[in-house]
Amino acid sequence: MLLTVEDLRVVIGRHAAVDGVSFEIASGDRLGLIGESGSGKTLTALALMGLLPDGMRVEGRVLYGGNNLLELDEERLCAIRGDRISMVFQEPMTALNPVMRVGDQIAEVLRIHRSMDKEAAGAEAVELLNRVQIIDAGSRSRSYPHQLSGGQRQRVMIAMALACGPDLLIADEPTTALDVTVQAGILRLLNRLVEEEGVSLLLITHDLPVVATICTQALVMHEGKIVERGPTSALFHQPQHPYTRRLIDAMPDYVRSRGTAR
Amino acid sequence: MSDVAIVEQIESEAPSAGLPSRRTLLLGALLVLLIIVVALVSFVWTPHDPTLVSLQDRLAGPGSSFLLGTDQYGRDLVSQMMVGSRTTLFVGIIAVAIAICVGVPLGAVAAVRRGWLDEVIMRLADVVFAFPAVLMAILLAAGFGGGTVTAMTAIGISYVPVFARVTRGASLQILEREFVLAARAYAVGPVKNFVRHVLPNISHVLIVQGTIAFALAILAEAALSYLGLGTQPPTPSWGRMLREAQTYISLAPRLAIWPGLAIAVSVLGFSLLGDGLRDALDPKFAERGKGPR
Repeated sequence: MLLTVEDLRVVIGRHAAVDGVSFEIASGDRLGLIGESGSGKTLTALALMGLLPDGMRVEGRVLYGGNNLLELDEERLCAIRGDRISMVFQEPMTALNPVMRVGDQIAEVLRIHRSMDKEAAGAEAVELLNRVQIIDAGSRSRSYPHQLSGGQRQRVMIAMALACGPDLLIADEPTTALDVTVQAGILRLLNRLVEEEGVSLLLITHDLPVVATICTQALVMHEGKIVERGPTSALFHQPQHPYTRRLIDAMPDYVRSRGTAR
Repeated sequence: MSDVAIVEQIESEAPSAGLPSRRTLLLGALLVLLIIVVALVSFVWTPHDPTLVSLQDRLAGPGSSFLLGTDQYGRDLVSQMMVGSRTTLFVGIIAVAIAICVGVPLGAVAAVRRGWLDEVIMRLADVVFAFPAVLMAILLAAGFGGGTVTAMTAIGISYVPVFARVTRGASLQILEREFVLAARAYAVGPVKNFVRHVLPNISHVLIVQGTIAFALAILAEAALSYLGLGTQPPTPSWGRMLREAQTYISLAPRLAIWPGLAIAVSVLGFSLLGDGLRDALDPKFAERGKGPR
């Protein structure tokens, strides 16, 4: 198992926002974590990365490479963060530093984890931008985020996340902030990269068609608990839990009829 | 290359016709440069000895021997103002440097750490803020004696809270943004994260604050010199010249006008420079600044 989450709880005050979540990700898995806003899916992701805001208590175990990530010291956690496990954030508008050229931001990751010098990291950043299909990557790497479109920014985020060839990519609502046409492009890209690089994917979304497009397995989260899990197609065709059924019923018919095409 | 990616590419080509308008920056830089050049020239050459008292030339009008005339002791006004620019620059730079070097790290620590440390730093800042620069200078002068160094240290210390607050406030806003979290997710350490990701995003605020503080420091130095706590005679300072001119304001108004003008021009120069720098440093402002204004 690449990553094992056992009885994860995130407690804010007395309220458990994530309440006993357990799941496993094997290498090459593409796992979807479905749930509405406030169901605790983003907190789950942040807890895995050790990035929860102050004032939240985390319990349970997150096993990766024989270590419990929740108990690792900051230094050893930093060796994993962004290197072995990386994350794509929801808002490509705010997840990039507005006063830093995008190439430099990608290069920063390489310089931290790969100890590359400035030039090598810069060249590698351009190479990564090529891999995420940004046209004219050389000059685009010298652009500031506001000079790029939403889709391009998300491509830059994906390039950053893949910079060190991680084992696991956590994508938190990677397409929510984008236009539908751009969404499709980003999803195709993610799909291709995950296949090519053999990266495992934890895709967090409230968008069922997105999960249907990419993921092989899915978890449904509701009020901090996982209410249903299983292969994506089974989940869509024979939902067991009433909440899952409601979610699927809430999808427009034409989406449902398209079903799990892939 | 997918068609979607091409559409994205086209969308991102924002219109950016026209030349960048950097008149503000240019004018500010020019004025500041003028003062710096005058200060540097004063080290090697002044028309007359700025401290030479010559009673037969007292209150001489502008003319061929004294370009702007002389003061009540017969000292050449131009020479005094040239040497005075050194004091002005020196005091302004050191005072602002003290304020930034102490205030910015304090504000940064308060914003990043929050909690009791934030509380302690900000309450201490409030205490210091309650002391006007003049009172601070009197306190320091009691201990170390009056002088230019006392004056600029006092001015510097009295601006520390301003920089601490501005830094804290602006940083809190930036620290909320997702890219700071993203940087943490890529294992950027806390100090590096602040320096690389937060500081550049608040630098425009600090630069503007810095130029305002510089302008105020020039004025504060003038006030302190008047009280005898700042630059000591006979070292010329624009502030002291202005105050000394008070007595002769009806007899020789030019004695007040020229140093006053010099102060106004330098304050204006630094303000314009600050404004221009902010626009030039912020890539978004730089983009918008293009085209007709």
